[in-house]
Amino acid sequence: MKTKLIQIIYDMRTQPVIAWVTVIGTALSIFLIMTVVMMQQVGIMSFAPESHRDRMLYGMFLHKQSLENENDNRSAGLSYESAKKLYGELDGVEEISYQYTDLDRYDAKGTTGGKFTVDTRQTDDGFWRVFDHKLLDGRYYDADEVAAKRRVAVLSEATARKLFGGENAVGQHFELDHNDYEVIGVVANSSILASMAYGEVFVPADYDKEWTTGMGPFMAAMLIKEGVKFDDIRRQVKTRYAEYDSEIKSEGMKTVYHESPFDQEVINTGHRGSNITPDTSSSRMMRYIIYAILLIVPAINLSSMLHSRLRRRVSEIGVRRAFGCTRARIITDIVAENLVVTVVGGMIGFALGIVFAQCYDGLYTDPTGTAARPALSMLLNWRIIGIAFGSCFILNIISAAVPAWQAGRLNPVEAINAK
Amino acid sequence: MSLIELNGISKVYRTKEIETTALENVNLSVEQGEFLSIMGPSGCGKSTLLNIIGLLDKPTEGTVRLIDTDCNRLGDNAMSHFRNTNLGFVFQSFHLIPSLDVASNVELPLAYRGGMSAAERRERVDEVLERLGISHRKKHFPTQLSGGQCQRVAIARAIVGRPSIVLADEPTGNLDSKMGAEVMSLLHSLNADDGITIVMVTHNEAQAQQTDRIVRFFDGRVIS
Repeated sequence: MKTKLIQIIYDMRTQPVIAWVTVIGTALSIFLIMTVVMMQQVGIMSFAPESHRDRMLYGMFLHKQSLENENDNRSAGLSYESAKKLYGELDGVEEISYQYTDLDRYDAKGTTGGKFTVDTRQTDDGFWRVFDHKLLDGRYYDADEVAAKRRVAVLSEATARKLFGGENAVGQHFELDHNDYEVIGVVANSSILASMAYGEVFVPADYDKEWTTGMGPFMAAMLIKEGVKFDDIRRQVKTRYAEYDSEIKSEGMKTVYHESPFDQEVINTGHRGSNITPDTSSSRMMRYIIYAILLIVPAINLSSMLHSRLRRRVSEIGVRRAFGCTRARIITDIVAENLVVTVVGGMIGFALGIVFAQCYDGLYTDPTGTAARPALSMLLNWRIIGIAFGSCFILNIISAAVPAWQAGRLNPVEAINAK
Repeated sequence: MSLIELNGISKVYRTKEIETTALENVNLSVEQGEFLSIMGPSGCGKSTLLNIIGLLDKPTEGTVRLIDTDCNRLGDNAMSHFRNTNLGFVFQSFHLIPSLDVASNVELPLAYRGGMSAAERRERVDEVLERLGISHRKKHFPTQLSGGQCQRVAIARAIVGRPSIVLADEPTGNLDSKMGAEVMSLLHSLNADDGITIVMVTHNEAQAQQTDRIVRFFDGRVIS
């Protein structure tokens, strides 16, 4: 290893332009890959309060169609009743939350006097069990309070500070959408990227809100038991849809099933079509094509750089072969040397990606299109680091494979005598 | 039994337009412990023969037996292993690796040999450098050495693996007469003291005369 490092340093000193272009090219490539990966990963990886995204399913929409005219369609969110009928008490579900799909932006006013807009999330008590908010003070609202439509609220830490300054918020009252609410708890701030759990103010949902039969502002957020397959849940839901069909038959309607409930990958695509079956395979394919382009294009350039670097070492390769180095060893040595350069470039690219994500908030958006900056802790995780260095490894293999193979195939005599 | 035995060796280089015969029906035997010189005008096939003996090149026809091994039957990996354990090379232009210091250059053949720890390799390198009088240069790089010192390092690299045969292609060709004489003296001492069989290509009649036998080439054939 020491010899390889000496060789790399020597290469960089004797061919500085090629060496630095290689490092910078690798860094930029990994930076671009990291940016795309982080954008994707922020949408699917688990972080508090969505600490179990890999076990989450969301039942969000209802699509009804006339039995007599298939062009007569109605689709929207769920009412509390229809959400319970379709998703309540399914086998394999650990916890369920019935909550409004969208945030409401209401005016709020506390003791500090100023009025400002807050992202308000309306939920039931199950919300606190499904999602992993960190309670800093007070308590969450319970089932009785939700059923009684009590005007109680849990605030994010930042909102509590804005409403009440430095005072203890719990027990205080504030105005929300012209109604008086009592603060019963304060939770840690959450990122807007936790699109299903984020909120600045959390209040009990109004169960009675229904737009038309079966349709309303609700969705069901389900935490699935460990080991239970999502398809098992979907099979049960499909059966529920059939049962629901018999209920709405008298209205002359039937339901159209769209592979509900959705997993985090669907949520991350920003799927909002209540009458459309989400298609993750095409977005996944598009993502893979982007990754491939981001890897292959720089790999071709890096490959020609490595080829240039090796051209100056042809004679050395011949000498190594003369003293017993096998073709395979020549190839692996070159790939290993190139890997070190690629990893150095990759580390620079990774750092650039993190800095960029922290500085530029236009890149990361929640599914509603709101810009956000992911927390550093969300980006510095083993999965993202693994993908970054996995990309380095693939980039190295693609860029080094042909030059290394060619070096391994060199005729020792011709190589030794090469100028 | 000869240590090196070549029978009916021919080497023809073919391109689309032209066919060049470098060696034609060469038969040669070299005994263990012999110091053999190969002489002849430029382009007569001396180096080609040395490359064939060194298993760096394959003959178009004929058989190569080295140390009782039929080398025609060896695959590429086996040839690499054979070169590593039995052969040492000294080149006219030294061919030291510029990125490595003297000790690492000398260590090169041992690095491709399994079963030796780093400490054992270092010990062997120190021993050889001491013997060739260049241990004080072990941390230097090739660009910091004189031509004579470079060739000493190259010889150290050739013998560090304790080979039976050393193949030297014009080892004094790039050196002045004094340095050349030193290198020749070194090769003679390796031959005499260690019993290493040496095959040397040279243009220098005086140096060739100091060896046990001279084989003269002309137009790819042995003429005497």
